Amino acid sequence: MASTTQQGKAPPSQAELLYQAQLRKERLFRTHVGVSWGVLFLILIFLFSGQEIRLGSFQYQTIQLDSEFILKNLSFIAQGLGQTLLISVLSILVAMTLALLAALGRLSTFPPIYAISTFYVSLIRGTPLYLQIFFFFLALPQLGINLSGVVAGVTALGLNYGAYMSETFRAGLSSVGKGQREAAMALGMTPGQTMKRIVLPQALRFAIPPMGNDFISMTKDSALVSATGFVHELMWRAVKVGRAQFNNLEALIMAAMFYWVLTLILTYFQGKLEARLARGDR
Amino acid sequence: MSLPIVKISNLDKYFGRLHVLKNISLEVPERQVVCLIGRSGSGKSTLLRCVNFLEDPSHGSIEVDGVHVEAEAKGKERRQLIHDVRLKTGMVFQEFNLFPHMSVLENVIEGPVTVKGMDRNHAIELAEQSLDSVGMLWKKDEYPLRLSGGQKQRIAIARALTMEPRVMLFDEPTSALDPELIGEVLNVMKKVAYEGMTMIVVTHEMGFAREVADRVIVMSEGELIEDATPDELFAQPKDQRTKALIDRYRTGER
Repeated sequence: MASTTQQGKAPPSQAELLYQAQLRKERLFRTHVGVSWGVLFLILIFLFSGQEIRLGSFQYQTIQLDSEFILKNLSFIAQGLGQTLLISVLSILVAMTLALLAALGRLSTFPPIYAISTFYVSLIRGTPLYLQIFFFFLALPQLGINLSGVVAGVTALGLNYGAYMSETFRAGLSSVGKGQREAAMALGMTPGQTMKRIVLPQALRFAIPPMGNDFISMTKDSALVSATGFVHELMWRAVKVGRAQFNNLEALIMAAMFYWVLTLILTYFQGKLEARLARGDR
Repeated sequence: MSLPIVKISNLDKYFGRLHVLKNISLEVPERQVVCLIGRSGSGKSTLLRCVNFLEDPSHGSIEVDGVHVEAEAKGKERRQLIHDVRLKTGMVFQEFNLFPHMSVLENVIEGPVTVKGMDRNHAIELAEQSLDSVGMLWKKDEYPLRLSGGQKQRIAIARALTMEPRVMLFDEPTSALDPELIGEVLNVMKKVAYEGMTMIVVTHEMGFAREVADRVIVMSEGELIEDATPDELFAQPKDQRTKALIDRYRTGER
């Protein structure tokens, strides 16, 4: 920088210089990570480009994808996005409700309620999600209960995630200090009012970021619902066209890309939400 | 002397096998300011917290402004009586315990609106008066996170006062504060005292006890060992343990 422009201005302080240097270092790191991601992505594309590499006597043929198949079936697979999102949203709503009830049940001093809550969590966490989906779709009809693929899938995913997410709510509830309850009780609030007005709002706020993560996981676990064969979401569509034309490689890669992009988008919003909550004034 | 507004009779409290309050009886007349002093672990906070049943007494009874609750009371009746006692008592905690998800004003109207079912606008009017009296009206739309400890405690006092209690309970209200913030809270407490509020104050602030209290009670190992006016107590402590306690405060220890 020309020294003339500095004239008349106080030279930057030592602290300012150190701070600027630190910012530059952080920016540089982020830039390098970004560039590396780009390179990794290009390598990935190259590996599936069908090009031939020749280095002296070394010869390598990269993977050739059937681009005609991809173009032809892109929209068919893409149409599964709606179902994938629908199942995920419905399931997360069921899961949140169950998780909240289970977490509150865990606080109960009434033994049967406490028992129901812990029994539910134990049973669901002790069995595979894949089994649970089949159970609701294939085992219940034997008892005369016929659920559609979507209903069976949402029930299983909701029950399953509800059991896991109850731990998140429990952590949220225990993050609210004893002093908060005491202050509410000292004002004369009933236990119900204390829970509703004082404890829950603070606990939910604590639980929102991990719940976002659970939702992102759920969009991917919703692929398991395709096993019923009656829910036409991303995975089901990829498997269907892939098997029919023996293009499983292309079909699964396409579905994978849809899931990945969906996850990236949701993760972005999740980050925004978390930053907003971290501000702390509301 | 007026009638007792708080009457503690033969109170015992156990924490597990630990006997923390030993057959305590105490009467506080209306408009009196009582300071409870003693070393930590002497049971003074526990005694205070028994008055509004934040701690359940193991045996004995509490009476506040005519509401009599036996420690052994059970069920619905007990819940109703405790609720009545809590409506007659305001409490201020060492850690302030403001509700962080509510603005200052929302903190103060929460009790009147949720507990008393008061009309929101009326509650706001009362809340603004209370906040003004503790000098915190200018921060009514702020969130607690952005306030100093002294400001939080003054708001906590306003929150308790807005419920129009008959008795105020203070549990070491200045112990969590930086030294330079203690004065503003003590000044507010003085003001409340001079307006005629009955107060029971657990404190380590001997200056406040000396200046504002009508009566100082010393606790040790779950018992009341001395009960006198501040002048008597500080000039001529009768009990050896009181003397030792006062000496510790003089030398700045706790």
